[in-house]
Formats: sequence, structure tokens, C-alpha cells
Amino acid sequence: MSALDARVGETRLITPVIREVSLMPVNGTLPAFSAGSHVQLHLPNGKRNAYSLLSDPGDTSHYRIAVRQQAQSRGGSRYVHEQLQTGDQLKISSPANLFPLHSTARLHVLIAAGIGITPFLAYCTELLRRGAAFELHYAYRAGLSDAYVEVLREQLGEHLHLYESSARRLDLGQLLGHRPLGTHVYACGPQSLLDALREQSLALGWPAARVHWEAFAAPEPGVPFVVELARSGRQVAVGAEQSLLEALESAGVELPNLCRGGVCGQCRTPYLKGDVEHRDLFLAHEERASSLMPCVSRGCGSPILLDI
Amino acid sequence: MNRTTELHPFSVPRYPSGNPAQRVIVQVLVTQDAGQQRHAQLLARADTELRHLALPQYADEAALGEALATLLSEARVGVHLELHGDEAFIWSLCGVARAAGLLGDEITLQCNESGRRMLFCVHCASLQAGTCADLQPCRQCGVMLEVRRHFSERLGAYLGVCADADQPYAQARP
Repeated sequence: MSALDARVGETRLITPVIREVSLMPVNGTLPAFSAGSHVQLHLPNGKRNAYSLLSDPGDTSHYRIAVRQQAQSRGGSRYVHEQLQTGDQLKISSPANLFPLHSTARLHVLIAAGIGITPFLAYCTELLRRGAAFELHYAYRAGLSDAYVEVLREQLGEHLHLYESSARRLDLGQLLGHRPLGTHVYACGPQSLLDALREQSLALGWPAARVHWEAFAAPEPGVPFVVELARSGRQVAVGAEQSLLEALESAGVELPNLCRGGVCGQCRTPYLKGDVEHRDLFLAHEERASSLMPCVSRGCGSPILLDI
Repeated sequence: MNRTTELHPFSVPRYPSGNPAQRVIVQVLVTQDAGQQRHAQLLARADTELRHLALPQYADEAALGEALATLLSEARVGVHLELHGDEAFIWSLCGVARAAGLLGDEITLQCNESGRRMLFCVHCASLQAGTCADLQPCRQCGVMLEVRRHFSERLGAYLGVCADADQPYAQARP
């Protein structure tokens, strides 16, 4: 996959746990992107994480991302918070979009929780430019995950609906009820929000084609394990803090990948035997007998033999 | 499945189309005939409101199309539309529904393939209702058309192309 050289521009802490980082081109400009796109950051500690681009999709002079420090960081978010400095150079992937705006929607209803606001910052810039009908519903914790509340209040006016966790509950049933035909809903936030959205939309007769979501894509750590590559006979050890995909990359085995979080399906890899703990949201039950997603899934017993 | 579909499955519509949601709040049924049997089946669904528009209740297809457009302009997400009739009938109303904001997944098409179908003549670019025959003359320019296994969902019509370039008007051979 093609990687770009980028230089870290301004970084600023916008809440105690969220750091915004701007990425500048080393040569010329950066590739254009559409609202909802993400890039992968190739950090010097070997971690690669995907982050939504929150800056204006019409501006290719720089990209901006925002990173929330995770309590159980495997090293990616901690590195961005504690070590990344203005002027550092690193590789980033070209932007890819797994969460685009629906082209025929007439009303866009956006639902963000916490750091899930990031893709919607680019959405809002784009929707304002188009003069499109939209609403942003933003649930957050005051002082912790309320990045961008003030900026959005200024930019969006009555498009913005705020739900500060101690004051107002986000009621999905109310939010989805009585919407005109042509409405599409988009959500980004923790799995509990996405599960509730799926359940409520189903109950209210929304077809899946009107409901779009993006999960926080990040692998969880686990116990170390070993895989064998059937075609070369090589063995690759996977550390507790490492994903199988990262271990394969460190061993020089590149697999196509986009989200690095078990949702996009790009890194699907066949295996011949072994016990797999499947942690993805992509593969169907019957596909799991012979395929796994190395970005999140791990070994959990007899050694895995990958068919690569 | 008719002969055309077996030979060329991806460029012609397949019936029934659509992807009905697991739960439908308001079911809109539109039928070319009185549609009493389907009406009764849908009425039996406990938690779904049924609205039925039947062509015999309206002056003509245009009036029915306007009634459907009005109904959908006031509708809310949770509506599913089911269209029953010949291809000319269902695809014209499918266009009304798409214009109102319904997605393909929210429209079920049930087709009587022995009825009329729309043709697009590639020679004079006219759109017209034809029969289900494989060969038929264009009503606008008179060219004898072969109805190709190529369907435009946007126009709701099959492509009609001159069947024999040596005798475009199917005139008798000298």
C-alpha cells in the first residue's frame, strides 16, 4: 500500500485526554479526500492506527486528526500523546473512505458520542458548503470528551444538538421517529451506541441501507501466540501488545488493509488449522471456519497455520 | 423466471425485487387490478398499517401516480412499497417512489410479465409502451425493433434496436 511522507505540524491538547495533530506534506500537497475518510499513522514504535480526518475536505494543504488517550493503549495513542512532537516526520497511508456521505440522501442525521465526533467535523464542513439539510447530535462528557463543542456551536447554529451526559440523554427512538423519506442516519461512537442504533432502527422499520456507522477500530491486546505460514514454512511470533497484522508486517509480510480494526474486510486471510479467537465484525459465522482477520483476531490454543 | 432472465440475468430485472425490512410500519400496496387477495394477506399482518391504492379506483394511471406521490410526500421512514402489475405499470410507479426518496430496498416489485412493457427506441429516442413480443414496430419511427435483453431501471424500459438492418421497416423482400 502506498505510504506518504508527512511532517507533524501544530499539536494541541483540546481536552485533558484528546490531542489534535496536524499533518503537513513534506513535498507539495497531500492527496484530496472525501468527508468520512481516514488515514493510517505509521508511528516510529511500529504501531499503525487509523484516524478519521477532521479537517476541511476541500483543503489539501494539511490534514488534521484528533487522538483520544486510551486507558488500555497498546502504544499508539500513548505515543501520540507523550512523544510525538512538532517537526517529527512519519509515514501515513493515503486517505481511504469507509464511511462516506450517501449521495442521494435529502436529510443527514449525524450521531456522535465522545471522540466519535471526528469524522463528523469533516462532514459538517462539507454539508455546510453544499447547503445540505443535516443535524448533528453530539453526546459528550463535560471537561473530558467535549472537544469542539464551542467551535461547533459557532459554526452550526441550529444544526447542532448537544447531549452533555449529566444533563440530557440521547434518545435514539425519538431521534429516529417520524423522519421523512430520504433521511439517512450516520453514527460514530462506542459499540454500545452502535448496538442501540441497530436495535432501534430495526424496531422502527429503517432498512439497513439508511443506517451507516463507524466503529472505533482498534485491536485489543491478548496473550502471545505463534503462527506458521504454510507456503514458506516461516514462523511468526505475536506479542501480547501486538496484533497479528502488525507482527506479520514486522516480519516483512504486507497484507492489504484499511481500517485495522476488524470492520472493513481488507486483510481477510485464509487459514488451514488452529484455534482462532475471532474478534472482527466482518466475517460471517460460516466464513470463520477458514478465514480470519489478522488486524484484530488472535490465536487461542493449537497453533494457527495461515494459508499464505 | 422467464427465458430472458435465464440467458442474461444481470441486464434485466428480476422479480420479486427489493429487500423487505424485517419490520415494516406502514405497508403501501399498489395494484393494477383490484388486488383483493394480496390486500387480505397483508391485512393479516398484526403490527403493520396497510394503505392500498388500486388502479380501478382512479381515472387513469397518471391519477394513480399523483395519489402515490402525495401519499409518499407525507410518509415517514418505515414505509415499504409493494407494486403489482405489468412491467410498464410497476416501473412507472417505481420512478414516482424513487423520486419521493424511497430506496430500492424499500420497494418490492411483483410483475406480470405477459403484460405491457416500456421500450426505448434507439433510432428515434422515443419511450413507448409495447407488448411482451420479441419483435415489434416502433410507434414513432416505424422501424421493426428487436427488444434487447437490456433494461434501464432509470427509464423503466427495454432497449429496442432495428431487428434487420437490410429491411428496417420489415418490408417484403423484393
